[in-house]
Amino acid sequence: MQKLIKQILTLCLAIVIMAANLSANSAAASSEYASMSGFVYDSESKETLIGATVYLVGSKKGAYSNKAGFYSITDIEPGKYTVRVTYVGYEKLEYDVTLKKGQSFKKEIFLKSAAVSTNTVTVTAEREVEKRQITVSKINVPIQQIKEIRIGGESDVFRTLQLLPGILTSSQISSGLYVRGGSPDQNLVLLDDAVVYNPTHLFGFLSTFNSDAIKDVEMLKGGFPAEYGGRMSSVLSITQNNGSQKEVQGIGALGLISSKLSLEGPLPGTDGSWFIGGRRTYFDLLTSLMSEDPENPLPDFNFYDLNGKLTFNLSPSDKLFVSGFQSADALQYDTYGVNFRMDIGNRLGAIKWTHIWDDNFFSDVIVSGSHYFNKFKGDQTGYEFLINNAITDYSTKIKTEWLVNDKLTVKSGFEYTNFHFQYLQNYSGDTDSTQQGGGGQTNLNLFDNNYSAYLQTNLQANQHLSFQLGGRANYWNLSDQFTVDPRAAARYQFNEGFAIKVAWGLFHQNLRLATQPDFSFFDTWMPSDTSVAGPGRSDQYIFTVETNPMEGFDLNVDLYYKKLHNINELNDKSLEGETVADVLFFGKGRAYGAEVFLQKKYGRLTGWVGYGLGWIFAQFDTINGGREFSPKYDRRHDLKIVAQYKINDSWDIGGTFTLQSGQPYTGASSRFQTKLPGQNYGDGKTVPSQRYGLRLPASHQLNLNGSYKFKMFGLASRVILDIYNVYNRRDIWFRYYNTQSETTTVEDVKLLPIIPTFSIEVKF
Amino acid sequence: MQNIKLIFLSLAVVLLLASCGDPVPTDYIEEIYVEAYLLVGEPIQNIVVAKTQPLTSTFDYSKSLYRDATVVIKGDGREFNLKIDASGTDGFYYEDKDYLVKENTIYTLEITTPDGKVVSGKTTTPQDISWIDRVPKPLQFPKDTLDPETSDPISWTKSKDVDYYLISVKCLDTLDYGKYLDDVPDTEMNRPIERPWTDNEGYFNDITNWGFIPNTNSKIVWAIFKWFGPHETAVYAPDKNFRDWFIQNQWFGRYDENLTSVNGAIGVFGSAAVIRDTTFLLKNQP
Repeated sequence: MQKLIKQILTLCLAIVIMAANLSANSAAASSEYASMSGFVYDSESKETLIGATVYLVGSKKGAYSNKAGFYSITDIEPGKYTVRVTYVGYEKLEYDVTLKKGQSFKKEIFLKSAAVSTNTVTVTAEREVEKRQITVSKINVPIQQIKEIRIGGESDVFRTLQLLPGILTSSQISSGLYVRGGSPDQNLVLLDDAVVYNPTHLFGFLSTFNSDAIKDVEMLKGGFPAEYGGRMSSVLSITQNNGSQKEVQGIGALGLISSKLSLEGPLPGTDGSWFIGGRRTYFDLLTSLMSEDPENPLPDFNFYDLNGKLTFNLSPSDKLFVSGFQSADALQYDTYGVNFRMDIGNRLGAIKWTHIWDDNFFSDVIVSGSHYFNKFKGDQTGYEFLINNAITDYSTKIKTEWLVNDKLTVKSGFEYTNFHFQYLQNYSGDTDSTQQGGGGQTNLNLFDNNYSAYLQTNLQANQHLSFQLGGRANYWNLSDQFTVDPRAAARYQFNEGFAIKVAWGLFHQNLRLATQPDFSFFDTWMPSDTSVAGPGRSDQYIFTVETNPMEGFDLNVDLYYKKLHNINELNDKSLEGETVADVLFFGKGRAYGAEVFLQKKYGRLTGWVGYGLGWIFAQFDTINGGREFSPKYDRRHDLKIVAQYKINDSWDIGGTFTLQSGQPYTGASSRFQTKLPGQNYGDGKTVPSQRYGLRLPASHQLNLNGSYKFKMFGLASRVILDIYNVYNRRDIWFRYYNTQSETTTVEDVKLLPIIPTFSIEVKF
Repeated sequence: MQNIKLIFLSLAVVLLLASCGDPVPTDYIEEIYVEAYLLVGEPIQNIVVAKTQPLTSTFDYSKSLYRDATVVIKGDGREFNLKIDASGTDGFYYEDKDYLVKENTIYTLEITTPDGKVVSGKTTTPQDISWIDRVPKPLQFPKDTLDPETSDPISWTKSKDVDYYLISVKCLDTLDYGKYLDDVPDTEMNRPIERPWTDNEGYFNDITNWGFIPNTNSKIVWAIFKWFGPHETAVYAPDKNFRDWFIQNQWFGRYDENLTSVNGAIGVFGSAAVIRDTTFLLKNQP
């Protein structure tokens, strides 16, 4: 392995040297060629558009706009061209341009939103540019589609991503993403380039991301390039709306679970924009109006989230973004001398400066802070218990992108993050005694610093073959660990409609999450300290086939194999701890499988059919007698169908259908009765058989939605009807053995029944 | 188009395969179960050796017991050959009731079943403890059951190297509350404490309720009482084996191998120092 890493690093170095040479040649030749660059905007709001395709017809040259909305095409032969610009949900734009020798042509592009993107040229243009994309397992779900896919009346990013093949859940009521055998903590979740740690509401039912505040969602299910690091499985990168630069506008919606309001507009006195969006549930407000039975009080519960962003266009080459995000869930209950309060939340702030140094050199500097906490304080007639867990990071990232020439792109970056971890559990009865030590207390207070640097190159060797090579070096201060993550990918384009990709890489993760798979109650992040044998690591091997079986459809088939080293599970029998190893078990795992993803992005009918076939295995010396087992989220077959149909300008209908192998559960082979001293009856216990060795019946669910657009008091409005679980399939959440009496019974706890919901949305 | 048809055909096959769940298993694997606690200052008794039973049949505690195993405890420089409580369900005991388990002493357990299987375990008895603040007697249950006030704490001395203590409250008479008081009407004779969770199946099966205290003092948690009336309150200073099995007993319905302390079987060979006291819980309304 060491040898391989050395070879990869040598190769990267060679590429950089080659890049320098090519750059020199490029500079010499620059006078012979022209270049073209600029930003792509929504014509109404002047919101930058991410992932728009800019293509010079007939030249085989083109580019996608990046996360700043910036595109750049270099090494263009002088001459007259038709520029074609396309983007999902927008009208195709074409215009002619004449480029001269040595010209650096700046062009801001404005696209008009369209009801339906139907044209096949859109697909053709995208395919031309797609040929340059080497990154594997990357999926961009258009935000319009995310807004249309609703579960229980709420459109939700995580719920939508769960409808992709290879992304599993621990149950229908959990929004946690289990990507190709990885647990949710192995996903790098970025909001405007800052890390979000536990982005869930309702103890995991919904994600904290308000779809009205988001403009782009990019999911990398595996084999991600060196520019991303710190996680073993996947990357989810979410970009918030910049806000309209043209006029103040807003959108409000009333729903069953929550209501939301977003406002945006131009920044007065400057070239820029602002956006603010909020969402709040009102369960607590409703219960406060109801007359309560004092003997059966209802718990008080609420959640909210708030997104905000300021965008300053400082100059044609400089943009400054200030982003903020806050979410909180609170639950309070008081009855019969038992009372508790639980608070869970995220806070995040980020400042990003984007500077375009030249047509072909681009940089980002990001300074961010992120904080996640969960707190629980309970009191049972004077006996107190307390949980107070948190992770806080302060991070600085410098990223550069150098389009050396038409064939070669070099990305590099440096990241520094300061972490503070807090893990406090006090069951001693006296929460004031936290600092005094003694039984029933875990009080870990750890600090860590992480330094990372990466280099990544994309090289188009010829018309058919492209490479992506890179490496990422990490140093963690607390455990004094240095790791290197080599990453490599290649793409071979056989013909217009058929390409294969391969990817390999090592992915280290120093952070660990102590969590239960079913609920996000007390998820606690910890570093790998000196008690742990280094960070976790995954080795990923991915093979992808990309093809277009018929016009308008993309078909991807992915095969993957993932080895997981030094992963962890919560030791839920641990009563106290002084180190990370005291509260976690450590083991290893592997996952492999195949995914088929047939997607239609354009036309009246959009959506996808996804199928995943996967195996996941884990082995811990201290679990299941040391024998290998499949974790709870292992599902052999996983079929998902998503469809949205635009009937006309007023009516849209859609639906989602999932069919999955039943979830594994642990059976039992016999029972016994324990009796502590003085007990006359005792407690029945079962002796488990193979951990998660049995499967529940298959799980399936159909959700339908329909919406109608109309004018209300002159304002564009929409009513939305959702039916969750249309045919009332009560899947089993979990199965357990009831040993309360002498007769053992098998009990199933069922999931939610059919839930129709109605919501209304008004734009102003 | 042919490709698409093939894909959908494949998916249809998958649907068929995926639609099957495993039936609930009925396989039975017999295992030996041991529950043995040595209490400092008390005779060696209640050493239970049993077989686990099938899930498909009605559980019978009496039938699960091994009555013909050889059970030997060694420690304190002696060897104790135990006898079975032949007719009852109390398990094995040492005939000489004058021998009391000593504190800070290592004891080992060796069990040989009739078919030659050997089970062993080892415990070190904790240092003895004593009361500092006893449970008040009588003890008045708060008048406001929805918002009961906090009581004065009870407390005890620390046992060396023990950070976790167990409290048990055993109702000594669940039927005749009024018998112990003057001027009580007949309707007050049987007095369980009603709470929303007392409807749970099996809640009143056991007359003893337990609590876990990582401290040497505790307020009285009223929810530990199931009935009004006379109670025995005991505080245990358990060794790690006892503590782990308590966690198994109270928190987990499924056996966890990390909580067992005997070799060759499921279960516990643990010990504890114990203090006991009695109290009378008066109901909240006269």
